[in-house]
Amino acid sequence: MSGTMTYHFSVILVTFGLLLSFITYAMTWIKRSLCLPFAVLSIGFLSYCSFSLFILVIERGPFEYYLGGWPPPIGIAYYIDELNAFLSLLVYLVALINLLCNRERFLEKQGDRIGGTMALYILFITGLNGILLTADLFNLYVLLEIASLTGYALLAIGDKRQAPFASLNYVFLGTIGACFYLLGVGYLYIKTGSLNMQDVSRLITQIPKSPTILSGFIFILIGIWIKMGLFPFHIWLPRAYTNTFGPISSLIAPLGTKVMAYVIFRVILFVFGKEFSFEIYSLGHVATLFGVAAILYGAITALRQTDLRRMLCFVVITEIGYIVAGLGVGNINAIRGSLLHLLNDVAMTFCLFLSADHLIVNTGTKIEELKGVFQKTPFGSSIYVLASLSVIGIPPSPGFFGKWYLLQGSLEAQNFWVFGAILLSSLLNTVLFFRTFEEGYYHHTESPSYGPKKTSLSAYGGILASGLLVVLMGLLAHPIVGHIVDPFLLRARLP
Amino acid sequence: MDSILEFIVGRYNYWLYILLMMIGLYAMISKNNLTKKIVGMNIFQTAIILFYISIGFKKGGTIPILEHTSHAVEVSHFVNPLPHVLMLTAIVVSVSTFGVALALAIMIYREHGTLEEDEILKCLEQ
Repeated sequence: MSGTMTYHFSVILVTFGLLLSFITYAMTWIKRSLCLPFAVLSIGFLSYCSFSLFILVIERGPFEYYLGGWPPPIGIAYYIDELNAFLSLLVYLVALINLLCNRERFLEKQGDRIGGTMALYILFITGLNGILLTADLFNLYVLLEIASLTGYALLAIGDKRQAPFASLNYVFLGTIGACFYLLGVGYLYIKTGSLNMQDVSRLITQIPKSPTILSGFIFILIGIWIKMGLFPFHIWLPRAYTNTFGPISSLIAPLGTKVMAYVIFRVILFVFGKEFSFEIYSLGHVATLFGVAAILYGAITALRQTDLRRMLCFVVITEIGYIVAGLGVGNINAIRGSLLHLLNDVAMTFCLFLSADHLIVNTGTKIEELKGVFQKTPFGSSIYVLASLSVIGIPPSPGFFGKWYLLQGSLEAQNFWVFGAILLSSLLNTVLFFRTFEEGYYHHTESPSYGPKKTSLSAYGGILASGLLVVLMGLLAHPIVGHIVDPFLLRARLP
Repeated sequence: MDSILEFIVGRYNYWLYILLMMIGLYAMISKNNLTKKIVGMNIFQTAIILFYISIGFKKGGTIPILEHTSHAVEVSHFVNPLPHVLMLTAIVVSVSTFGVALALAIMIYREHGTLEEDEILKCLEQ
């Protein structure tokens, strides 16, 4: 493939994603059984595009892509660097593994509506991918709404009766979040007259203390915080993710919140700039406060959950807390740690939700129903243990490296609140996960109501692949920091 | 006194959009019926659309279509079209959000036979 064609992959990822989702739906009119294989092929094709884009960026460095050849500020630009290309590759990999792993369950649950479900599935990841690659503030809003609207619809597919109600609550909060973001963009537009991120950041430096810019900053921040489920704005998250259909939760839980966390970094470091965010608007204190609160709240509340997947939702809230707290500390090691944790977290949370979902299928949703599950499905359980150990932060796992940089950064900044919160929450997570191990490993009472379900080879393959992803992220932690995270920080003019 | 009046009257578009936004937010928080909440959400989104429309407007400005002229164009004679174009997309988004929310409301109604939030919560607790 020639180099010039690969440049176009940046926009092909989004436009073909939109197109392929509608073709997937149109397959229903020909033959319904074609929908799922076609969806797998489409995501496979998009993963290939994303992979070659990633290789291109690693070889030649970051570049801007102008849609239709119109340079900004008039046209819309896409900006591809190492970090968002890698994150986009992770998004597609997670979506592909998740779909292959849960093929049978999708057909069983949504058999007569498989076309629509697959179309929403592809639209969702396309929206996320657009959020990652775009360099235009309004374009980001539109793609954010594409990802959110499809997310609401997917989350309403439920095993339980609560699912549509939980999803509607998410619609209300998600809409407030997106509207706040849009309002913030409007404030920036009043002052700068531009929507391109680079252009806005250049113009903002000339008007440092404008109250309009400050309002825009606050609105954008709160809007994204609602979307990413940071502590006081997290109300929608456990309800929506717990009550939905298992394979949907293992798609949305790792991806949705992490992509929004990436937007926070993009907006703060590349639109407002480090000096403005931290020195003039004193973001550091606010983010530290919210981050530490989220870490402690998530870790403590998770302890008193009786439902396995609901417990994992609070683990997700804790992880979001780490990312925001690292941003709040604000020195290079802490921000490096929180970016690394963001990347690792996609793999870890995915593996955790996928394997936990496998356990739930074999036993039940409650933690006390896990009795004897390690005997029943030794393979799925061992992957669950692997993911849990990674979330706790046992050394060779990816979770460890993220936390290591975070702890180092918070020590350098003498920020003992963050330091203590990370250590304490790791300890609480240990208690949390060993409680589930204990139920699964030591208690041998067979629950008569649930027999061991037959699991297909592809499901085992998918769970294994998610486990391998976690192991790889751990082994490759050093090159990931060196080639993906550090160039991003360098361009953000962090020392 | 005059300066306060000027502060309020001179920026009446912002006051109106904040008022409308608060009405929407109030409906979303305090109403018990889910349909009313959904309508509140739509009012909330509409407020932001009006905010964008008003920032593109200029007093005495006309539609931004240029005829072939030889002399220079006075920018203040034309309204700024960009916020208006952006809002076309935002209207589509708000319509589809409204649609998704109503579809979810239908699902809830089929499940529980009611759209009153307290009755649904009571139903779910059992």
